[in-house]
Amino acid sequence: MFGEKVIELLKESERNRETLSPFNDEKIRQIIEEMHILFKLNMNDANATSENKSLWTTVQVRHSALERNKRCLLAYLYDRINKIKTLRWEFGSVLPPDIRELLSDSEYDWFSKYSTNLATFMRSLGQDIGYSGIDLTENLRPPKSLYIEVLCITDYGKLELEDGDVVMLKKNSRHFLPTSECQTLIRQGILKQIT
Amino acid sequence: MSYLSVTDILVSNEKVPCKFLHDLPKLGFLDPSCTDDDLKAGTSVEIPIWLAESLSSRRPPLVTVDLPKVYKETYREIFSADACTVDLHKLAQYFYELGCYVAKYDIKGEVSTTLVNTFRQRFKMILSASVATDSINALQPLSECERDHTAAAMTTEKALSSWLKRGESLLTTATMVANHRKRKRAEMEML
Amino acid sequence: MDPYEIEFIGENRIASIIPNFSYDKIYLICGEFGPFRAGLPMNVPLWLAVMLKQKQKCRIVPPDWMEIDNLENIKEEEKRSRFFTKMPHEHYMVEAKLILGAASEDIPNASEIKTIIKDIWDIRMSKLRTSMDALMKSGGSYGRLDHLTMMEINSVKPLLPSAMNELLKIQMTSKKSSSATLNSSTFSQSGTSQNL
Repeated sequence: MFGEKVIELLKESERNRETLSPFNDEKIRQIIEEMHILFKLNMNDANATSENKSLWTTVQVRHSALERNKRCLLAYLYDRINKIKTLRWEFGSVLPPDIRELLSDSEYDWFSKYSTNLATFMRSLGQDIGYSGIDLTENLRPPKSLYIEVLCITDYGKLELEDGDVVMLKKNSRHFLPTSECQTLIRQGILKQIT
Repeated sequence: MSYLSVTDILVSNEKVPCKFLHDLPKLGFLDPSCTDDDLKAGTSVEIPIWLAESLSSRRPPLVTVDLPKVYKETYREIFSADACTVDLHKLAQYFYELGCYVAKYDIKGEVSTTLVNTFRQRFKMILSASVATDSINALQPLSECERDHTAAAMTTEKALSSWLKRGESLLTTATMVANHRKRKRAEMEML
Repeated sequence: MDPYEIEFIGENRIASIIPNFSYDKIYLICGEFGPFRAGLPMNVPLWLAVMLKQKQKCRIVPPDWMEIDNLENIKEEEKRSRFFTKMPHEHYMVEAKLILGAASEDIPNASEIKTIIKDIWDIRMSKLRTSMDALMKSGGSYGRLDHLTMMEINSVKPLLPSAMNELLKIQMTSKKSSSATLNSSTFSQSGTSQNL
């Protein structure tokens, strides 16, 4: 009641700092239940205070607990939002289905809106000098060469290159491709660069 | 932005010994050894610091806060003798952060000096842990805050030494993607 | 910053090459270079020199500072002095790594030079680490860092600034509600500075 349940949520976040865990809908509902109970108790006691002054301190204590629960819930949600933001930069604008099910509906909503915002911003860069925008999620490291050799880790299927050629990406196949085409796939873990 | 900081919330969840100055009806459950519904004035209970702060800052204050034993005289002497031999992770995971909260209840101001000096002394443990080959043992006695700094230093160190060794910079899988795959693989193996 | 980003900055330096082909002037974002005449030495950015060398289109001329006696002197100076000595230029490590990596046959005594440079680097890094520890212990709030190159400074980030932040935070928050006399003492330690 006094913040124990909600701490478990946060400990779960802290344990998995680098990954996203599934949205713990069940626990959140329980915590909100608790907050309702606290609030109702307080309402009753507050109304009774006119006769019994000593209940006033109890009301204050319960109120602190309510604020504590609220703070923890907000921190949990905020922490997840930050991780979801990273998801956009690492997985791209389309999430693989097993990641998609880790998000709640409103979180996925937020993700789409963020994706749209990012795309609009990227498109607008350089518009005044005639470019149709720069993809900021590429070239996160200074590029070294035009072409690189890659090994395909999982079956991906057909990849169409800019000049029209189609490459078949099967597991364990090696290819010599332009850096700009491979970058996203390497970040997503589908290709691996080999020297 | 410490309101939303998960670390700050976990730190403020740590318990400190307090004495209640007033009767608190219906809040007997705060004291696990109390069988009454009500909490009587004069009881000493260990409560989380967030609650302790909120209660002691009311006018009039509802509790007095006492220092946890780690910040008291005996331990302070151990820290000033040789801070580097202490296993902070076992003793007080959030030593520095909790210390900052607790120091204001120490009228003499000695806790704050201990905190500062201990951090200064133990900095070299962070330095050596960041380049240690046996990082697990080196990390073991460090507190949470020290571990965070060490992790950051380790990343820099790794990046630098791999730059020195390697000719080409390799593009790599993104961190979250790699971790997600690792976790999935571990889950599959458990099934 | 990532070391590769610093390498990116460093490889814009001008290096000297002798191309084995002829070509007109080229116009790059960083400037115009050329025309290329086979057998005649000329200046190009370091990254271009390395790329041409990898395609076997040129020979790299060793930079002035990259020769044994000069480097031995620097190494002795570094060992002797408590402070950091002035290095040939800001990106000596980047230039050394790229040139010795791609064109070691163009550099006389390449493997000895590699060893000496590595020794100088190791001495400087260990000096840096001892100075960091001394800075933290003594409580000074700034230190002199003459003649440190970008790559070396980058190796102490984010540890040193964040540790000092942490220390300041501990000092400030734990002294916050003590008596008023302590208000000025939190910054009194900046009187001692540490000459690194």
